[in-house]
Amino acid sequence: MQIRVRFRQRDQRTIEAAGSSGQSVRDLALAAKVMGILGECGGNCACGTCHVVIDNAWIDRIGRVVPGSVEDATLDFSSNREPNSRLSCQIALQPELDGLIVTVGNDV
Amino acid sequence: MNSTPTFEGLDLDLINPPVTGLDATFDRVIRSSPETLTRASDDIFLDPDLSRNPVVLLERLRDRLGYVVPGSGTGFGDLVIPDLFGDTRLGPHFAIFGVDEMDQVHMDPASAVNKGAYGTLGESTGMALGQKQGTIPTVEDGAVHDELRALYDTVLNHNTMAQRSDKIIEPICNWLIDRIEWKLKHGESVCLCLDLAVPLTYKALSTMLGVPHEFLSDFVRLGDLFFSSGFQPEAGSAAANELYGFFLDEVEKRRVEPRRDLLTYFLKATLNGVPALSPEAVAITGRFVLIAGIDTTWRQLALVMAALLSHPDQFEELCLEPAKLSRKVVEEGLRYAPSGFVVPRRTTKSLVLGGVSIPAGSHITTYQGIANRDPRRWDDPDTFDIHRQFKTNRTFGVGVHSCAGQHLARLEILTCVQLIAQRLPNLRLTIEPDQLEVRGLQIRVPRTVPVGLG
Repeated sequence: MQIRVRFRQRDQRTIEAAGSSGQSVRDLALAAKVMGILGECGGNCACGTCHVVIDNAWIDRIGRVVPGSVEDATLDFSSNREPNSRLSCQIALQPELDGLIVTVGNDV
Repeated sequence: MNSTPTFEGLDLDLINPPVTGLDATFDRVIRSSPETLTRASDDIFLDPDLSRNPVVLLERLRDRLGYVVPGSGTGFGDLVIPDLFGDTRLGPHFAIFGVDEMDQVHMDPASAVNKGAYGTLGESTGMALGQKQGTIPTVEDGAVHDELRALYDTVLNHNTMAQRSDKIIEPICNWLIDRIEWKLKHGESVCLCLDLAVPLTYKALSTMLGVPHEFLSDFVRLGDLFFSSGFQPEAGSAAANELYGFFLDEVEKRRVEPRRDLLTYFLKATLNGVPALSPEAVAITGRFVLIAGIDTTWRQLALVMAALLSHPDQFEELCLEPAKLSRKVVEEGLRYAPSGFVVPRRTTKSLVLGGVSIPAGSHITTYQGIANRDPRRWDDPDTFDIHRQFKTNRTFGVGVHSCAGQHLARLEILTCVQLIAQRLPNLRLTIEPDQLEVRGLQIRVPRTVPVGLG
């Protein structure tokens, strides 16, 4: 099943992409060339350059970042951090996330 | 890319044993650590200036010849640099100094591969007793790499490692700081290499792996020889055999009587119903994990502390806000003073990097120690500045072959930095920063980091 994600870029453009179950949102963003997602550390939760802000309608299904976690600390390296911020390398696509909406967090 | 394999029989609680042996015996082991531990393996094979100042010399080379420099047989440009890995200069070879060019290489694992890149050293990694007994992700590509790396990642990922912080890393670090305080109070000299970095990294990983700490001195000596295989193949091979024999004995003990440790964890892991690793392959894995998890890590920890204490104003700022600044210190330390300085690859097809044509079959050495100072990416890159805007350093590499142990390494360094800032805010170097002797090219190491209380 293809799981659809809508990426809102900081320039207001929207990129629609579809990935498969288990694929990270970061990997999907890179494949779709979403502007502002760099994923420099290769998905190792170490750089903060795959930062996304989860849309309010989806945050309960994804969950906010765990306070005190490595992801939480790494998000401090990102710009424009918000309560719904997550690192997209830590979000794996599942069928129930079909239609997910995220906004790219970091400025380009 | 293949989908991530799903292993069965994984029990992460096996690698959460209690830390034991933080006692007088461990103190004696630390005191008996030979000073040769802090000798760089490749120092005697390098031009002294290059061993002392690779950053200065290689930046000059970069500024003259560019971010991608063809090899000259004896080195690059007019700089004589020996073949660090053995038998890697039989054809075209290139040095990469730029971060963009390095990323292009590392983000294309099909075009720039590990196979054949590590030369004599690489061939020795899976060998013991004259035969290939197993392998490690570092020298593999494709599906073989992905499967083995996925198994390593079940243990070494950031979540699993973070869960061991308060049970394993913090108790060891606090005990070592207690010991440092005692030594300083009683007028004994303290070196952050031998009194902190080496015992912390060894104790933490040996606790998880199930290796007795009495083996520390032998183990680090043998690991040092093993890492020098590119320069001393016979000595490296002998050391590799001795280590393999030790681990094979330990694996056999666990086959008969499982214990709560990483060797048992790897023995029990299955993939599609069959063992993921043979006992021989588990021994190879144990040997590699212990060396890789100690040799580079303790040196990196020592280098970060040396860089920090060389800038006492920034150390003072850290001590005022350790929770806020510790991670910044770690990342800037990794950027400014990486211990692992180079990573090799071999091209499977022709590439163009930085405007330079690289034929298929070429050997590439990416110098992350110089890429971390790319002026196109970092302002004032030769300045240690914990407040600089964060941009991902390349010390652990990027992509599928990025360092599997980076999360454990980061955690150990972060814990040290934070606890020292909290407990020893008046720690200082007892020598001038320009007297710190850092040596080596393949893996950089300070000869000593002597400290006292100011």
